[in-house]
Amino acid sequence: MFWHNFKNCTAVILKGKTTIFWTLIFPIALATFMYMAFGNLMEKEEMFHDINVAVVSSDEESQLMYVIDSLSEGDDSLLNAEKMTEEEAKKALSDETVEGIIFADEVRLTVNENSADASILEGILSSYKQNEYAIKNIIEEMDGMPDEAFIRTLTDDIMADVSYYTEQSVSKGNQSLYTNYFYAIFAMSCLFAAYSSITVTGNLQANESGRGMRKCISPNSKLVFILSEFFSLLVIHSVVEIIAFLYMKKVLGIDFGDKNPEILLTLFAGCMIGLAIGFIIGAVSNIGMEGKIGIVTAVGLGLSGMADLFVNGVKHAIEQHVPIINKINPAALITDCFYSLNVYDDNSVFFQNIVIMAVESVVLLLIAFMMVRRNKYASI
Amino acid sequence: MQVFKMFFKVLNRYKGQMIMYMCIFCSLLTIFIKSNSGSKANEYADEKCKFAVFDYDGSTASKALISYLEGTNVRVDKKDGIKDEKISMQNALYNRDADVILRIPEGFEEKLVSGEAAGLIDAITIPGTKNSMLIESDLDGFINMTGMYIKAGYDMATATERACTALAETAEVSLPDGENVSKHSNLYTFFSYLGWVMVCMIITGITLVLQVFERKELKDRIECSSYNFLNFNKEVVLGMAATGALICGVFLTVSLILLNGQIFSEKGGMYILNMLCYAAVCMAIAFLISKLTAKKEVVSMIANVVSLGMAFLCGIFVPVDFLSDGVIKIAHFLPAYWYNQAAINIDFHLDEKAGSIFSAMGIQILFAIAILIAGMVADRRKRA
Amino acid sequence: MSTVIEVNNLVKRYKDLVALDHFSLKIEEGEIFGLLGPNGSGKTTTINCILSLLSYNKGEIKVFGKEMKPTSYDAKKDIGVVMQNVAVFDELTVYENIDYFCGLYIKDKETRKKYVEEAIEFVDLSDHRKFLPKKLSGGLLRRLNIACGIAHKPKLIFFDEPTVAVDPQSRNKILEGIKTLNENGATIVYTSHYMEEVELLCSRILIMDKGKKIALGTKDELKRMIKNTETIKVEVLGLETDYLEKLKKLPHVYDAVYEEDLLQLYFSGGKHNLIRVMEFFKENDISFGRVTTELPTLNDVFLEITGKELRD
Repeated sequence: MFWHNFKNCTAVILKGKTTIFWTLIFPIALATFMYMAFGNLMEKEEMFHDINVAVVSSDEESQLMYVIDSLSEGDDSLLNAEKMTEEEAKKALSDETVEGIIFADEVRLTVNENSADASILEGILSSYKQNEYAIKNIIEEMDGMPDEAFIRTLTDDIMADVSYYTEQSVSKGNQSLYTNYFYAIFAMSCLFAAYSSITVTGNLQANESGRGMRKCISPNSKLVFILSEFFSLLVIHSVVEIIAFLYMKKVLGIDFGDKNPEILLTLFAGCMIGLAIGFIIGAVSNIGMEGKIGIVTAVGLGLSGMADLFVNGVKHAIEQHVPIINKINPAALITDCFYSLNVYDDNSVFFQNIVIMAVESVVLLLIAFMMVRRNKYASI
Repeated sequence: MQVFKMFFKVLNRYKGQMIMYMCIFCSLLTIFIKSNSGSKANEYADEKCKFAVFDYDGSTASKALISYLEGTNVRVDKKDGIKDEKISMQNALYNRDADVILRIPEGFEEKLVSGEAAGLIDAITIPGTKNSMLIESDLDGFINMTGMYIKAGYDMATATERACTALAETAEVSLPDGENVSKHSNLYTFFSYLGWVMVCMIITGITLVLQVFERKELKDRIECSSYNFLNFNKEVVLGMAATGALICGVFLTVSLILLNGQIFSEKGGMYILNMLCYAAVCMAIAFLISKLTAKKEVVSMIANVVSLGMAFLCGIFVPVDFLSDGVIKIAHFLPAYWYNQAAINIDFHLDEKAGSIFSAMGIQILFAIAILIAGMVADRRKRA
Repeated sequence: MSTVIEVNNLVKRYKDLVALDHFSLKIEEGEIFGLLGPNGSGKTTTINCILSLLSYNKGEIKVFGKEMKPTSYDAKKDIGVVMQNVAVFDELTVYENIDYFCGLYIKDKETRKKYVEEAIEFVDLSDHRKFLPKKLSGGLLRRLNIACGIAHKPKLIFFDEPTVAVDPQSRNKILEGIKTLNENGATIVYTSHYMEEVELLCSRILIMDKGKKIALGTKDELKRMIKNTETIKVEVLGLETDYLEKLKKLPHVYDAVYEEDLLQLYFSGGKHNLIRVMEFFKENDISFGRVTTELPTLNDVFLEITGKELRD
């Protein structure tokens, strides 16, 4: 009976092509878009392309000119500076052939808008200004005349760009910052697995479909139906997530680190909880299919929102006030699973999250079963 | 106006759901504004890094460093009781109690004086996170500066003090007409994110209503009535336009509450105009999708793919500056790109770029018409 | 013979509407039991209550001698239902649909295969076994619906208006099929608002209206309940009133109506009514057109008891 229904459910889902198509397209398309958007950021060299900048200066020999020149030279150059008169520079700026104008005499910057390039220019100027201040300060307070060579060493030192820290990662999971965004896609697509569940439970409720009536009058326990259909969907959605994962890893070449089995386990648990949420929504018998779709959408977006999938900071605010929510919110648990892989050497916290998800799934399924078990409908 | 009336009767049946979507999206928008108020390009400038520090040197230099960092960032280890043990540190990082944990080793001051301090401090963090980069550059800047003073012959206490003063200097940045460059306004943030929220909301909401008209039996019945094809579509479009206006009205009300009436300005007016154009595009997209699929359970996924896709590729989530040229070229074929371009220009160059703002709006309208026609063609095709 | 279904004092309310009002029913093994009533009279509600799909406010229901609950799997095993609405998976073919629903009852694969083939044979869908439901015409779809309900060879089968929107050919096939099922030993509960079908098929008939039992019995018993035994209609031009009065006084006539050149005479009992009428016309030298005689139908039964037509 279990297998019979399992096979049927699988066949129905797979043959109803549209749903399975979009379920698969959802993570793949989003990952592709994100990859395209972040592609630039992920490869650092490209991000710091030379910034075109106009320099207005009356003194060719000033310290700032020296700095600008050194930043414009070599392979790791940052700027593409061109000396201009003020008028030329303003024209170039309004034509957008340059990103900004540096007025070297006043150490001042003019830009069109507050862009990333502008921030970089601002950073360069600020740090120049700080150094200039410091050196002037030193010269002023020095006894006697400053020694030209000495000042030069000071400036060279400060330009040397030494790092005084050694970054140490706490674990071996070597994922990049952007990988987290791809994890967010997984979390969302796991939660949206709930759409399949409500379709399937609709086929189980006598008041929603004739098929449901047929199942209700057959001599089988609802538990068998729920379990077989749950596992059928679990297999289908796990395969969907694995395909999406392989696509991201092999086609897009995203670095997921070396914890692949753990990632797959997370996806599996994610599908489990997503589907279980769908089952419990589907088990409510007096709202129609449309209402259920609405609720799944609301729950999916809501939980994702609370787990920082759209905006950063919500999850933190929750952690401060009602931390328990983060411990039960499936979206937060899924992202925390991935996150824990980045942080910890051992997997105890990771498994703790997986166990919470598994327990939640079982509880939700049990409740769903209780709800439909001896359901007699008020109207059909 | 039979079809027009029916449109609203159907809409009325779905009003519960529409209200629910409205609430979700308005609260998302509110969260966006609240968490992101002001800045965009300098997204993380306002955020402070949370750090913990273990000072094994206990010298003047290390204390000065810590107090400088405490000034620019937030020190957390005292109240959270983070210990210099792997598990404790991992927990702190996992729970986001700290972004980075610094370990200043014994002999730090001596090495600083002798100029051998490079790479001396351990920064334990999750590699590549933005907050940790922030504190690391602060740390470098301070030690660098202090090092210079020391080289110039200052004693440690004075050197660190002077370094602090020097680091307070910043460069002046201005716009061409001399006014200081501002961050993106709240208005911009609101309307920029609307570029994402609007598509998602309208597709999830309106497509469901439009799909009702696509039910085969119903469609056949309308088809064989004396209503002509053009009139039918015209009234559906009219119904969508009215709904769109309604939705825009709600978003405006939200913006009014969130932004304290900033909307009553020349800029605000332009934003509203831009939003109306964009709403037209979103409606057209919803129309097209309703012609492409009759399954209600896939609408939400399509809505997310379309809205998030455009948000990523058109500069809403990731600023245009960060996108590669190729992506920007693709984005030209997406309406959200023009919406966002118009919004950026309204924010910064309302006067000098009025022409390009209006042409961006015009392009959106063209998009709307093109998508609408595509929808009608798809409809015809389906029947043929 | 044993009682298969026993319903006592069933009350079912939908908010303000009383769908079943102290409704009772007893169905014996081997019967073809007809539930007849106009649309909205509570036929489907009754069936759904018996099947434990619907909750009810009062009353008790026993199937195969035991109280019926959602978990009465033993009873459910022997029940088959052909629903009013076609209930199949659009994604699955004819064969797969029947196989799936049969599989909910029959676990053994070999038996199931045999049963499914028999069911396909039974509803004559052999040429369509690989078709998807949306490719089937209305009549064929109904037949698929029936096959899904009966493939597991149940002892008790509910047919809920199986012939709605079905062409006459398919309808006859369905009716014959039901008879065959009954001959093979199944008890049948058949609902319809087509009295001809019920009259043709059912061994016992229950007429219901507004959730209440109106009459119960074989079709002859039901017809005996009413006064009318025969109606004779004669086309006459310009019949004078005193003739009408005289006609009313003929033996066994209890009413006579003359409207729009049509005379209708209602008889209660009597054996040679038509001859007497003909003789009357001959004696009085009245010319007449077509003469028809009608035996009472269940519609007349319904009409006489409720004062309204069965068909709306």
